[in-house]
Amino acid sequence: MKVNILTLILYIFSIGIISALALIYEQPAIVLFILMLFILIPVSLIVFFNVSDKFTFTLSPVSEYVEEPNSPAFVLEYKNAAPIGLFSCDVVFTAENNFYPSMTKHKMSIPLTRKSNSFTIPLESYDIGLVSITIEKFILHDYLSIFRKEINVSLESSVPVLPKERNIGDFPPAVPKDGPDEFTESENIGNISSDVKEIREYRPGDRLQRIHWKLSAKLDDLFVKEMAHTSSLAIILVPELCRDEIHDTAESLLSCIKIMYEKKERFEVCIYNDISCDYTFFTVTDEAGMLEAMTHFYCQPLYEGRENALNTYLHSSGKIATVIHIIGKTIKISE
Amino acid sequence: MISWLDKIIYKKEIKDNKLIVGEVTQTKKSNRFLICLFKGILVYIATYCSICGLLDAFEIEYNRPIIMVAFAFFSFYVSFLYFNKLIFYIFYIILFVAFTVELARYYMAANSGFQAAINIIFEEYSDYFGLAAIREGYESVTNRYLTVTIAALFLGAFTAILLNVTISGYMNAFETALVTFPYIEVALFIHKIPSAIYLFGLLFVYTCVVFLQFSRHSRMQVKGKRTHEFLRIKMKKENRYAYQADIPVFLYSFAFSFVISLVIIILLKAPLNMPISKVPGNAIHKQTQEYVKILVQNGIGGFLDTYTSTGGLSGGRIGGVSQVRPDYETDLEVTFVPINYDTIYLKGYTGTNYQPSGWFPLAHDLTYLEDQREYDFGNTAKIMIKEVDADPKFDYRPYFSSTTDIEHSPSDYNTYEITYKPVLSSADYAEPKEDELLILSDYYEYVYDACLVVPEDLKPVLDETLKEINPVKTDDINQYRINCANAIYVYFLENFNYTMAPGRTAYKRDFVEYFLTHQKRGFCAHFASATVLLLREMGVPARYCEGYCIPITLIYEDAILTDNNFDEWYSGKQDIELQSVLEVPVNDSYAHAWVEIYLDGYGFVPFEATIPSFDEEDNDLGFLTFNFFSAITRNTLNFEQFGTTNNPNNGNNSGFNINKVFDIFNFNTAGVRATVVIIFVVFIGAFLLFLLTRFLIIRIKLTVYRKNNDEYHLVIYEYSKLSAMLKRKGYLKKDNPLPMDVKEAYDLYLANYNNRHKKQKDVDTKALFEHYEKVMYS
Repeated sequence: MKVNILTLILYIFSIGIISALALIYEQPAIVLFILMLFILIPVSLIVFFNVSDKFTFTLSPVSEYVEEPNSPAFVLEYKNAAPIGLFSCDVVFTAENNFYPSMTKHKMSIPLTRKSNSFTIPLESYDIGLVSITIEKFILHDYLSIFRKEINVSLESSVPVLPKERNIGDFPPAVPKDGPDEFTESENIGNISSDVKEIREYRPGDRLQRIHWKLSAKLDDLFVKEMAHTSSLAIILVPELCRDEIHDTAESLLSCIKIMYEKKERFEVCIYNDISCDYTFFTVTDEAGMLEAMTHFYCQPLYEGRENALNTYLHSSGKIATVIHIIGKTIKISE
Repeated sequence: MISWLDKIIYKKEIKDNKLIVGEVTQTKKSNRFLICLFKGILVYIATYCSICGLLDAFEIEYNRPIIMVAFAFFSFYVSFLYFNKLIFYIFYIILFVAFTVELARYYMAANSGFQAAINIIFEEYSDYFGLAAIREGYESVTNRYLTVTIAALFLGAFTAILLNVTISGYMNAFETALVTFPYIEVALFIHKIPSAIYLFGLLFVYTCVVFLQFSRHSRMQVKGKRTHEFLRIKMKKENRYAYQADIPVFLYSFAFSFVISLVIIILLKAPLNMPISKVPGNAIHKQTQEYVKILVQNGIGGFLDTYTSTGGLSGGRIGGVSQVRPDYETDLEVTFVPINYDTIYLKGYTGTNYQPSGWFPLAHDLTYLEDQREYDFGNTAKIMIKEVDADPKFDYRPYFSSTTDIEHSPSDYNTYEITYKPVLSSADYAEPKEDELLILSDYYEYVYDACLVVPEDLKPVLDETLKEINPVKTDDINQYRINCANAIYVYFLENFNYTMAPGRTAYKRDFVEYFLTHQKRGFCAHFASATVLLLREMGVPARYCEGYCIPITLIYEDAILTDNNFDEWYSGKQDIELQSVLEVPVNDSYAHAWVEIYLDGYGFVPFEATIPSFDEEDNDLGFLTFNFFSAITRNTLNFEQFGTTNNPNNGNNSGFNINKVFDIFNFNTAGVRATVVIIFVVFIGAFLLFLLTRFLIIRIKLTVYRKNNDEYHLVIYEYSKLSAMLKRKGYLKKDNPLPMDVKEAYDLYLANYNNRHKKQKDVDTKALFEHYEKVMYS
């Protein structure tokens, strides 16, 4: 329990002034008003003592994520176990976008007059990022704001602010589902064609280029080559967390992810951490996966380089996949 | 979305952190309605209890049902102004226009009611303080029941407007008390306790407002968005926000306040009338009471002028006094036996030498020779004067006394007895004989030289004035001198006015010259000074005197019988049936200035130069009807032609012209002022209404254009707006510019804008103006 010295001084000063007036001008009627001010303090204090420890608070986001230009909001809910409430409670919190750290403290005053109620903490976001809010303490005031009780807490909640989806044209690019031929030739990606996994009989629809002519001639039947990467073929999205182009990168990544999971493509998102030089794969098949991947993307440290993630991936990953490198608005298939 | 203004305030956060706390628009309309209702109740109780508490404390009658209903209407009207932005702006204007118009319509009744209430309150104050006189306002409508009700209505409306600001706007207990408590304090100050219900009401409001103020959830913003309930305050280290206007806060506050107020009132009902023991040496209380007395006697004007005469003797000092405001404190206590109905003059100061700053005695003053003159009219009287608050520099002596007859009390130097030989009537006055003092060459020079001196620079003004003054010619030198004085008096009577508040003499202007040429109104010092100089210019030796006068009315009203032996105090005949020794308190309002004219064989005799005030109230005061120095003048000096109209307005009291001193409250003056104010308010109101109408018409037209897809008018509007903006910013100089001129100016503006803000405002002006031209000219 703490005392707001300034308010108390002001209050006592008011009583003093009125008392002095009553005394100087010999007016007993003014005593009424002095008594009023005197009575208010114990009334307020008694209620405050009995009520101030009866509150419980919870914090939650209004929605799991928001998409630009919408802004996130959080809901602070309280429950009061006491029969009467308090008039004023200050909620001290910080709010920040993880890409733009902030030291600004916010103090929001709410009334705690009902058995339970909820208040929106509205935020206005001007860029993408993981917007989080941390409530540090609640300061409960008595009816006259003379006494206060501080309850230290650590209620946290966060919401990713996603960029608006962008039209990125025909995506993903025409990657052959069943053979590396055109892909290999046209994009010239490594020497993947030599990795023949198995040879099977020809089925209608198989491409002529895949026919194993030598074997077919020997066995007098058509056989086709089943390439090794065809069965485990994956598209890996590798976004760069380049500081200067983070907004565009996120926008491109989101657009790619959305298009691909809506088309039910099999793909993974590789999120790179520049400090640990590690990366994490997210298989996205629905909105939840998208949200998980984007949230993780937002939580990684930014860097200056333009190919850190790609290079690390190419040098260390054993996966054989189509790598789509995303930086800013550029989306390109890479080795 | 936060407003554009907030975006400016939080610009740094937006730029650096890309995140700020946004806006809440959640309060329902029903909540706003209830909050307005609660606030209206508070405004109503505060307005009703303060004004009706005051009226009831002084037992002023009024129509209570009408007041109750009207106050409720005013209170809820003003509190619901905060319902939303549109209502706020439109109905506030309507309120002020209606208030002004109604005040103009019922001004006379409202003013009379106000004056009636003030008069009743001042009477109570006068009784409480035992004041001799009070400021009395003029009531042009005499039906007090009606006028007080009307005045209370206007006062209630005004108070409700103020309370709406302090309660609905700011919810501030101190300001609320500041608006309402003075009403009750007017009664409490003189220990008049209003009924407990009013005190309960006020206590309830104050307690409630204290709770609501500290709750920080009672205010509703109205000037922002319609449902803008989220108060934001930008601090240096932290930003603060508050959810406002919570209904349960009001319910709790009302309940708590009701119980607390009820308990206090029940507990303290009995001791309310108990006087608090007086604090010894309570200078603040005494000083406040002095101020209250000034207020009661002189009104607010009593505090305004820093250099005023308080009605006592000025010691010849003139000019610079804008008005005389007596404090009505006793200056002298005079014990004597009245011998006739004439006013008794107690002379304290004689001025011979006129200077721009006043009248002064000569360096070698010879008036002491006059003081040693012996008289004998067969009567011997004794007068005892106690100087209570009079200027102790002077001795105050009646005529026909000499300084040798003064005997100061050994215990109190300011109390002295004077034995003198009063003249009962002019018939008793001896035939003129040679003035033995004139044998003395110095005294002769004093009379015929010093008492005829007129400043050279004043002569033209005096001569100009004298052209209009034609004394009756006669060979009798004394009669001629009297005729001259009379002629001057008649001239003043016909052309000048008496007032206690003539205004001060203009900077670097002579007192008499300014009075004669510009002011043409004044009090005794003005008339006496001007008369002396005019007389001198006419060749009549004259001088200026100051002192106190005791009119018969004062004797009848305020004299106290003493148990002194009559025979010890007077021997001789009497023209009045008052054979008692009386003690008369003489306050500063009886201080006066007059003229002395030298008459051969008689010496310097007094002459009343001050014209009467023709105001009815002045004449009603009664003590104006005496005739100055009638013992000499009534028969021998032919003054009777003026009869009782020759009222000297003696002392500052006799000319105490209430309506002129307080002409700020005078209906006629205020009426003119009110008319000017009304015209001004109506003009401003009309101008605001014009702006509002214009704004609304434009909005409505645009909506219609958009609805009808009227591209032509929309383009015209946009084009005009753009042109006006460019003209305002100085980019467009021509009066009737062509689209190409506007385009050129707009290009320049954009270039400057982009350069200044280091960013690109991409507007395809070419396409835009092609479009404008196409729509406008095709």
